[in-house]
Amino acid sequence: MDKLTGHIRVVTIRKAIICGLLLVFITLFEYAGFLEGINHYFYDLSFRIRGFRAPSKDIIIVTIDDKTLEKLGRWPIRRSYYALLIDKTAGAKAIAFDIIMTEPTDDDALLARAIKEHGNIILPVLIENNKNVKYPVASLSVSHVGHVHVEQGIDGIVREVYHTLQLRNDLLHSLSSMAYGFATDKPPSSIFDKKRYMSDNKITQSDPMNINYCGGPGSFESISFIDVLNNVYPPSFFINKIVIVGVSATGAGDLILTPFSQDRRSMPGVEGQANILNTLLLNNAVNIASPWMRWITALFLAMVSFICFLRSTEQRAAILGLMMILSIGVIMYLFFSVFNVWLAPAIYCFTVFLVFMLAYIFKFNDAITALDKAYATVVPHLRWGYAGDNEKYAERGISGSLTEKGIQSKAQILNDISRQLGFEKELTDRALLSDIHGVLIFGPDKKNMLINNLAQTLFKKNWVETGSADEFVTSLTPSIMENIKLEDILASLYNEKKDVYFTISLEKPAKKFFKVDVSSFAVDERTYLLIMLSDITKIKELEILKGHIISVVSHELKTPMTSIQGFSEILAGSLEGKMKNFAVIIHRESERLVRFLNTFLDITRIEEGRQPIKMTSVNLNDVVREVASALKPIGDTNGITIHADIPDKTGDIVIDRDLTKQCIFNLVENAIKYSPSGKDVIIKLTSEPDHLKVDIIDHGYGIKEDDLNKVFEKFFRSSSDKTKNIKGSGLGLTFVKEAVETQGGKLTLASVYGEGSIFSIIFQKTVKGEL
Amino acid sequence: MPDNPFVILVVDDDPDIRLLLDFNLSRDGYEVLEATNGAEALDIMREHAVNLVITDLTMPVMDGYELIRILKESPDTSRIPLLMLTAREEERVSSEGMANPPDAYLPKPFAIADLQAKIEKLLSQDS
Repeated sequence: MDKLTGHIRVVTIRKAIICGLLLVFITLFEYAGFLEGINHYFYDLSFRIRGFRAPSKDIIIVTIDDKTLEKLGRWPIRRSYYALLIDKTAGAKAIAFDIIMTEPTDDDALLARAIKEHGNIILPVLIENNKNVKYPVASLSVSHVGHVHVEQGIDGIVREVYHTLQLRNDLLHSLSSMAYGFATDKPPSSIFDKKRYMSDNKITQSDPMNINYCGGPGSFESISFIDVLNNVYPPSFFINKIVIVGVSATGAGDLILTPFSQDRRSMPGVEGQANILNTLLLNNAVNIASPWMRWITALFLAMVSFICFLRSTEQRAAILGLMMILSIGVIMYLFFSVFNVWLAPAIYCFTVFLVFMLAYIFKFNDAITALDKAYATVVPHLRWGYAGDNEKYAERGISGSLTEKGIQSKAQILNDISRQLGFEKELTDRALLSDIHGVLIFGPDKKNMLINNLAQTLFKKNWVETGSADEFVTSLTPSIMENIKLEDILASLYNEKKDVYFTISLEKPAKKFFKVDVSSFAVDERTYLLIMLSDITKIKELEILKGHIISVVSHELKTPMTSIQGFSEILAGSLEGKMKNFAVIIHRESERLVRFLNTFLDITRIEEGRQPIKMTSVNLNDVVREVASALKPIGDTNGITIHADIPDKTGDIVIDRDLTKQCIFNLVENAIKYSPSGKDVIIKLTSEPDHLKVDIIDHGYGIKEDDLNKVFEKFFRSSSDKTKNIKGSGLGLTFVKEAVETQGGKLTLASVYGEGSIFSIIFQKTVKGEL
Repeated sequence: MPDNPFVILVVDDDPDIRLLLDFNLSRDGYEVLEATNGAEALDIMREHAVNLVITDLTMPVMDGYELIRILKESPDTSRIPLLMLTAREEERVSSEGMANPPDAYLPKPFAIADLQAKIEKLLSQDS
C-alpha cells in the first residue's frame, strides 16, 4: 500500500514538473512576442465586435477632399486658403493642422497673420523615416506644434500613439495632446507629468496610449474644406470646438490602417488624429493588463485546468477546455468593452490548450501503459505463445510508442494476440464444452459459472439442481452409487486442492451411468470447482453382463454340485477304509468349491448393488458371541483358541446383521487359517462415543508389508512359504471389505509379518440408516 | 424308523436330486413321494395326504412359484409346511416377496445335516 502511494506520489510530482516546464515555455513564448500576433488579432476583433461608439461632439474634421481640389486646383493648395479657413472657424478653441508645412511658400505671410490672430493654431512636426525632425517653416512663426507620428504594429495597423517624443533636450508633444491642452486648459506637460531621462542622440518615445477608435473610417463627421470657405457652416458652428484640418482627397494625404480595417479600408491620417484626440477627451484609452498580472493568472489557470483535465474523462476534458477558451474570450471582451481593459488573452488560450494537450498526453500514456499491461497479462496465457515478433512490442507507455510504426504496431500486436486468444478459447470451449463430457464449474461463491449443454439437459431431466454447489450435492446424492458423503468432500475440496471421483446412475432419458470427476483448482487465489461427467454406461453394462454371466454359470454349476456334494456325503458315511477317505475328499472339495462360488456371487451382487441391505438395530455383542461359538469347533480342530473380548454393554448399532456376521465370521475363519497351531484369536469389541469397533486379532503368520494393500484385491493370494499350502479363494477379504463398506463401515488392517494381524471393522454410530 | 408317520412330497425335475432326497429321507424313515413338476405334485396331493412338501423352483409345466402360490392359497393345503430349494440368492429374495412365502429355504447344494434340521423343525412346528 505504501509502495503504491509512493508510486502515485512520484507520478504526480513528475506530472507537476512537466506542467511547470510547460508554463515556463509558455512564459518564454509570451515574452518573446510569439503570442503578439494572436493578441492583435483578438484585439482588432474585439473592436469590430464592439463596433461604433459615438465620438465627442467637440471635434470637427475639416478635410481637403476631392470636391475641394476640384474647386481650388491641384494639391497642394495655396496656404492663403488655410488663412481663410482660420478666419472662418475663428470661434474654435483650437485649430490643428494635419498638413505638413515645412517648406516656404508665397502665401506664408498671410497664414502667419491668421495664426497670430487666432493664437490656438497647432501645426504638425514631420518625423522622417531617418528620424529627421522637420518643424514648420519659420516664416509661419507658429508657436504651437505637435507631432503626428502614430505607431504601427508589425502588421501595419495603428493601435497606439506615443504622446511625447524626447528630442535631445526638447519634449515634442503630439498634435492631439496639444489640442487636448487647448480644449481642457490642461497642457500636455501637466497630463504626462513624469520624470524623463534625456538622451543626447536619439529620439525617445514615451507616454504611450492605446487609441480607442470609435469606429472605422467615416465614423467621425467630417466637413468639406471648400464648404467651410463657402460659408456653408455659420461661424457659430465652430464655437468652442476643436477643428482638425487634414487631407482625404484621393492620392493625397496619409492613410493609416486601424483595427477596423479588416477589409483593408484605410483611414485618413486626419481621422486617426481625431480618434486620438477623442480618446483623450473621453479618457477611454485602452489599458493593457500588466504582464505580471497575466503571468500570475495564467499560472493559476494552468494549475486549475491541469487538475481538472487530469481528473475528468477525455470527453469532459475536451468540453471543459472548449468552455474555458470560450469563457476567456467572453471575459476578455467584457473587460475590453466595459472597462476598456485589454487582457491579451492569447496566453490564456494557449495555456489552456497546451495544458489540455499535456493532460491528454498523460492520459494517453496511461492508456498505452494499460495496453502494455494487457499485453503482459495475456501473452503468458496463450497456449502456443505469440506467433509474432515479441521484440517488436516496446514497453513503457507512450515513449514505447515512439517507434518506427508507433502505436499502430502495438495495436496490431494486441489485435493479433486477442484474435489468437479468441481462437484458443474457441478450441478450448470446443474441447471442454462439447457434449462428449458433461461439464460444470462452480465459482468461489459456490454459484454455477458454467454448464455445458449435456450436463444441463441431463441434470434437468433428472431433477438435479445445478444453481449452486450445495444444491447440486444435495440433489445429486440419491444418484450416487458409492457410499460417500459428498457434502464433506465438497467442503474439503474448497479448502484444499484435490480430486475425487464417484459414480452416479441417472434414470432419464434412459438408464445411464456416469463417472463424476470433481476437482478443485485455484485462479488468483480463488478456488473453483470443475465437475466432469463421463458416460460409463457401456463399461457398467459390461460389468453387469459379466456379473450376470458369472451368476448363470455359477447357478449351472450348483445343480451338479448338489449331486456331487450330496452323494459323496452319503458315500463318506457308508464306505469304509480308503474308499471312505476318497469320498470324504470329494465331499470336502465340493464344499470348498461351493463356498467359493457363493462368495464370488456375494461380491458380484454387492458390486452391482443387487445385494439387499437390511439395516436394523443390532447388538453386536450377540453377533460376536455367535461367531465365536460357531467357529469354536474349527478352532479346536486347528489347535486355536478363540477369545471373545466383549464389554458388558455396547448398545445397538444400525447395520445389516447377516452381512456383518458373515464378515466377522470370514475374518475369524481367516485368522484361524493363517495361524499356526497353539496360537489364539481374539475378537475384541470396543464401544466409543462415536463408533463401534470389532478387532479380529491373531498372532499368526502376518502379512508382508508389500502385500498390505493387495490383500483386499480379488483373487490375491499372499505368497509365503508358510501359507502357500493353505487353501483359499482369494475372495474372502474382498467380500468383507465390500460388505462392510456397503453398510457405510470401514475395514482397516494392521499387520507385522511373522507376528500377526489385526483386522478392524469400524461402524460410525451416526452413519447411514438411522432408523 | 419305519413307524415314522410323516409323508414328504419331493418336487423336482432333476431325477438326481429326487434320488438324493429320497435316499436321505427314506433312510430317516419318512415316506417319500416324488413329482417332476408342480402339476404332478398337485395330482399326487389330491390322492395322498402329505405332511411336508420340498420343491424346486425351475421346473417344466408348472414351476415352484406357481405350486407354492396354489398350495398356500388353498385352505386345504395352506397349513402344509413348504421347504423351498434355491440355487440362487435372487430366488430366495423373490419368493420372500410373494403374498404367501414358503415356510423355509434350503440353498443348493446342501449338507445332509442341514436338510434334516430344517425338516425336523418344520414338522415339529406343524404338530
